[in-house]
Amino acid sequence: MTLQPQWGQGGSVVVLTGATGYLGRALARGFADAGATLVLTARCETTLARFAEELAPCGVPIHTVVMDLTDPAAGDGIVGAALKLTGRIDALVLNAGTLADGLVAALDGSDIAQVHAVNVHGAFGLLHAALRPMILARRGAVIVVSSAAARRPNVGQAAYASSKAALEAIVRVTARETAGRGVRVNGVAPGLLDGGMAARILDEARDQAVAAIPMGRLGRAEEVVPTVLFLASPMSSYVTGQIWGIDGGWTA
Amino acid sequence: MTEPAALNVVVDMIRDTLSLSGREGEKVSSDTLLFYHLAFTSMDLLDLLFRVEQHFDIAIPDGTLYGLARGEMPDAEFATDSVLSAAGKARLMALLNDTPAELFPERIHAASLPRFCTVGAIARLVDARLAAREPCSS
Repeated sequence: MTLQPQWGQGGSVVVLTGATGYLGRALARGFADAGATLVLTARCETTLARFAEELAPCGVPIHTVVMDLTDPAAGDGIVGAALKLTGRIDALVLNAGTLADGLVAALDGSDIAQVHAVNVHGAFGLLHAALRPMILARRGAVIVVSSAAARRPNVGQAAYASSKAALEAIVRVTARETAGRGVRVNGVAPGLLDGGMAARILDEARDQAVAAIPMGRLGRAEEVVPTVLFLASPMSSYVTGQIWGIDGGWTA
Repeated sequence: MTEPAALNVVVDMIRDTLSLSGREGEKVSSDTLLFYHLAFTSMDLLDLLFRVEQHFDIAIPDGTLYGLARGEMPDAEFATDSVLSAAGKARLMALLNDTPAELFPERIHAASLPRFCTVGAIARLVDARLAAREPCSS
């Protein structure tokens, strides 16, 4: 049997949240390079428009939807806009996230609520809205960006780690519910990356963190992209309900 | 839209849903019970409702069947803590009059109402939603 790689996303419509963040930018470039039509979402209109201009040389259709995921109407708004702009959604990448670190004994209730509002409720709202067109189409791939912190949380990560653990549970449940409808749901769990949110928590303990990673270094956003492309592609047609660790061996 | 037209479409959609799990050969008619005869799952029902809503351009939100069964009866008389009262059960049985009476248990939870639906009941639900839809102004 000869496997013919089908990494390309040519003609696929990919909706990506958190498109202007460190990992979001790398994911958008990866999908654009693979030929996907992109629907990029983020909160800041100016930053999103500028990033879309940066991607223009890739030569693929790029649409933008400015939306705050904590808006209860965000899920329906993004899916409605995507369907109006492109007619379908082949892949949904739930990448947007936030954090609020602090010891549990000191953490404010509003901090954990805000983190869950974006990471769990925001992602859930969009997932909920996107499943209808995917189920009707009998096809679709959802990739949730979790974190190694869901499996191996560190001191101060109660809000963030609990939100990612909740997301992973949603991935597994949704995968079971939609597997018979041609919709696959998976997650990636990056470890410490050399940019984005991780950069904020590393100022205090960068050396300690790196020492705990078997590969002895931080990851790069570009190293997360291939796994997400794989999970969005027909190459992973028999893969659903899984969380893929991309962490240099940290959770091994 | 007449009921037979809705019924034919619903039957075709149910056959399509069944084909996803290799159950193409099942007999599907107006008095077939989705959950009892066809072993429908909650996901099968949601899949069917999505297709019905898309095809007929109607909305069948959660609680539609509950609302149809309750009718004008005050909610407190129809159910307590989401469990149908005797009067509520009688109204449900009147609405789903093609479902054998012995299939309705003593205690019926509001969330379980779709489990007692026949294919014909789904078609009637479609007709009710079509009738409730505001006519086009043009």
